[in-house]
Amino acid sequence: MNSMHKNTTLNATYKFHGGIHPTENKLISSSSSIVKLEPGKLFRIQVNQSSVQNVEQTIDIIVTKGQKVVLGEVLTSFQSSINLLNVPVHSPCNGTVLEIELFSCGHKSSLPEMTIIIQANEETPHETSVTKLKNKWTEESQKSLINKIRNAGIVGLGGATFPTHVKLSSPLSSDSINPATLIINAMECEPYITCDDRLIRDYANKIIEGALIVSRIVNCEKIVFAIEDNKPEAVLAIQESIKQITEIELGLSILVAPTKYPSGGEKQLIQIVTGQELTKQQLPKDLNILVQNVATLFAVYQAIVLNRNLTERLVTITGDLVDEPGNYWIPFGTPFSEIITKFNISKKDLDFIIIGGPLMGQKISSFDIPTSKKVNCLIFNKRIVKVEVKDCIRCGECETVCPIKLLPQQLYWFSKSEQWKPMEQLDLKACIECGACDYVCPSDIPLVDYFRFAKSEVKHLLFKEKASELSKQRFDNREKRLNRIKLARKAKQKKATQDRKKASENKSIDPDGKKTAILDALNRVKNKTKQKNETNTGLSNEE
Amino acid sequence: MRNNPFATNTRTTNQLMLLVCAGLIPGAITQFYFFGWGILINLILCGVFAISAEALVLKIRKRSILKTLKDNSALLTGLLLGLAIPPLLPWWMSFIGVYFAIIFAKHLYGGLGYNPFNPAMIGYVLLLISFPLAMTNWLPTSELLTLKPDLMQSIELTFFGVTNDSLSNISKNVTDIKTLADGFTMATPLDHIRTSLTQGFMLSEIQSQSNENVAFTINSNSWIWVNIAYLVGGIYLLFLKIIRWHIPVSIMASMVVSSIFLSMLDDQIYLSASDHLFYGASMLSVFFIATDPVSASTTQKGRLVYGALIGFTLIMIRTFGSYPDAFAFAVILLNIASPTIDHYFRPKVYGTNITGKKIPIKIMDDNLQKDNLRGNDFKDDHNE
Repeated sequence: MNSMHKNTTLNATYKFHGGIHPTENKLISSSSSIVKLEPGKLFRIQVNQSSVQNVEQTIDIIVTKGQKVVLGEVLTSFQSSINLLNVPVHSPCNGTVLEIELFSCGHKSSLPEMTIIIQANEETPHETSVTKLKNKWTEESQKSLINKIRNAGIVGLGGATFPTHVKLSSPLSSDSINPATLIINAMECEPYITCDDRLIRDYANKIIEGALIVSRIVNCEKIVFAIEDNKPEAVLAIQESIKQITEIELGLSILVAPTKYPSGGEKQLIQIVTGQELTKQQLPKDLNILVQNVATLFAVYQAIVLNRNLTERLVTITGDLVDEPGNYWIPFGTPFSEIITKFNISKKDLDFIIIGGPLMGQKISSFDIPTSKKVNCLIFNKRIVKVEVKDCIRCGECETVCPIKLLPQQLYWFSKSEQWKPMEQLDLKACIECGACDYVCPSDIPLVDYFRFAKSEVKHLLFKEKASELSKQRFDNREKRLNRIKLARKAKQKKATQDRKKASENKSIDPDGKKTAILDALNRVKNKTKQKNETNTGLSNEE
Repeated sequence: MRNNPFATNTRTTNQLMLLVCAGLIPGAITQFYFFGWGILINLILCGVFAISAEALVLKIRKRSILKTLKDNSALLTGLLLGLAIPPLLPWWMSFIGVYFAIIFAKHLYGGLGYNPFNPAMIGYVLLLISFPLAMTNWLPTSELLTLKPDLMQSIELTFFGVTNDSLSNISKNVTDIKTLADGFTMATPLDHIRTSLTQGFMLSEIQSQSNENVAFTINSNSWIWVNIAYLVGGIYLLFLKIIRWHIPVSIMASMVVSSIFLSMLDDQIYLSASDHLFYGASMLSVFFIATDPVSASTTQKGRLVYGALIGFTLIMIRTFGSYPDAFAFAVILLNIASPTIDHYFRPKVYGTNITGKKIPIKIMDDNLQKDNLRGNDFKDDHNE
């Protein structure tokens, strides 16, 4: 058994520029073990829970008002639609469909989304729809595995919610420089969030099995389990579980990286593992890399091995207003207000909930919004003191911490004076909005807000430029066409006048056209005799 | 209400400025030790003038006075100018310098963050050009003075220009105080060397003269100590990450390289690198004036270039120009250039580098106890 040698812990990583070390606040929720939250009575399921926009029209809701549904039953379908991007959602309970309606679910555009409300039955027996038999996935074809993953409704559960089956659909190639690698993202660099940490501690074997499934789908040569060094228990759990695997011939290694935000960003993670940067046009798969979050891999394991659809996820409930912070299995669709009552959170101290981490998370002040696949952490904190925005003193700290090596200070300068063009030249588009610059700014300038706004403006500007370019082209083409027609007409006229001239000249020689008529007749006779002779010779030749 | 991020570093501009002021303490104490009460009077006067000037302008500009004064930037400008001007300078000169710095060099450009020049240096240069004699005649080290003015006498000298010598009961003015027992006045080392050089002496001759001249040795040693004290303060700022290493290191490196190059040409005319670094206001300027973020270059590469050019310009002006200590000019000249430097020296944005550097990290050991591994929550190194 050479697994001890095969599965090594890597002890060196590459470095990415900048980064910050915010106060972690992870112990608040990581010290207690996972609990299953008692499910509520009413669930509101968003029809589109993936990051892909504008697919709502292509999603077919296959349940009707009043229909009875069981736990894990599919609510939407994609079969009839052409769109390859959408993923179905499933019922989180046994119950009845109460209503299908538009509801504002806190999307940043504040546009309402289609939701399905399900009323749970009195008793929701768990795991009824789950086959206890373990599936032999090693014998299945890659295509059927991908289909199963899609049918189970799996999206990236690290918070980005990009449909997983799309990522898996393109198999990785392998070359000498870049072997096909699956990077398991267990960095979890945001403060407060510990759901991945706890998940690894409790389900390390299953996550590894999920990783093996994914690596089979995309033909990986190597699996790198990347984790920050602030999660030693999780590292131990993974080391233990890797030791148990003997039959798989795969390079499986653990990479323990120094804790630094934002090491969990896909680009930063690839840089940490391989030292390579993705150029603007490249996707991870161009470097033969696939990055998957641990929660996603766990969901893959559940979908493939247990035939279980994705109806709940591990959510970190934390913050100084929560009595029992920790990680809870919460079914999708549970409204935040229910969580607030269950955790005895005083509403008068609560201004807003933060979905996700404090650095990249989203602020929600309407508590009727339900949880969805993107909600990996809910932070309930007391009202924070308003910070005072001061003038920029050009200290350059923002540049020091920017993982993309942008110049936030100059970008801010340009965005304040609404000079979108130079901002585009400074590669504003490459900004990942990680918030590191904002975090270190001594003048508390909301840089990310400025950049988000500027991004939309730059986009608009580029769109306008493109449109004007197009219309200019159209105009040029029209001018050309008109010119061409004009020239053609002129040429035609010229020809006509010449013809007329010729005709009139001919007329002067032969006023009533008799001469030409005679000439024509003579020519005709000539041609006829010629033809006759030809046919005769042809015949003689045949004879 | 702002969006994400919701976490923020606790160190604010106000604290930054105050910490820089704290960094001045070792240098200020050393100057006070060697040059007496005049330093303290300058600091207090300039500090008060700066705050009052800022308050006045804010009132005129109809801005919130308290909110802006809280950022301590005016105080810092005042203190820097107070340390740069000679002790026992008439109060109205300090007044002119500070008010000009705050009103013209800072607020007419829009206030903190918008000034293209370092306000303290603008004030200094104004005084240097307007009152060259008063500004270049530094007080000799107190040890050498026949009359060591105490606090009351220093105040009298600053405000009225004369004081009563309690021993001889004769009123003395500032020039009398500056005159040593042998009837000469004592210039700063850089001044002294420069004057001797223009008189046709070789450096080695000046050196041997100086060795005989006890007063000169004592005086130049005091300047070396002052510079060392500012170096200590500067290292403290670096340690707290209030300033970054780029500007100080590149200025000093460029000063060393330029002066070594010059002394290789002729070591009898051109000063050595250590003389340049430890005489005059070198360390104060390297760590506290050139690093002023508002007027300096902001990109990391740009800061290296900015610093290198300051060092080079400084040595050139000191060697070939007419000012023995030209830090203010060098800094102001490069302030003008910093937007251009920023434009040409930008970092390479992510996506252009092909391979990265490997850094070693600690190896996780299976046998380590879980409890040992997980200590307290990791704190931000900025907060400590």
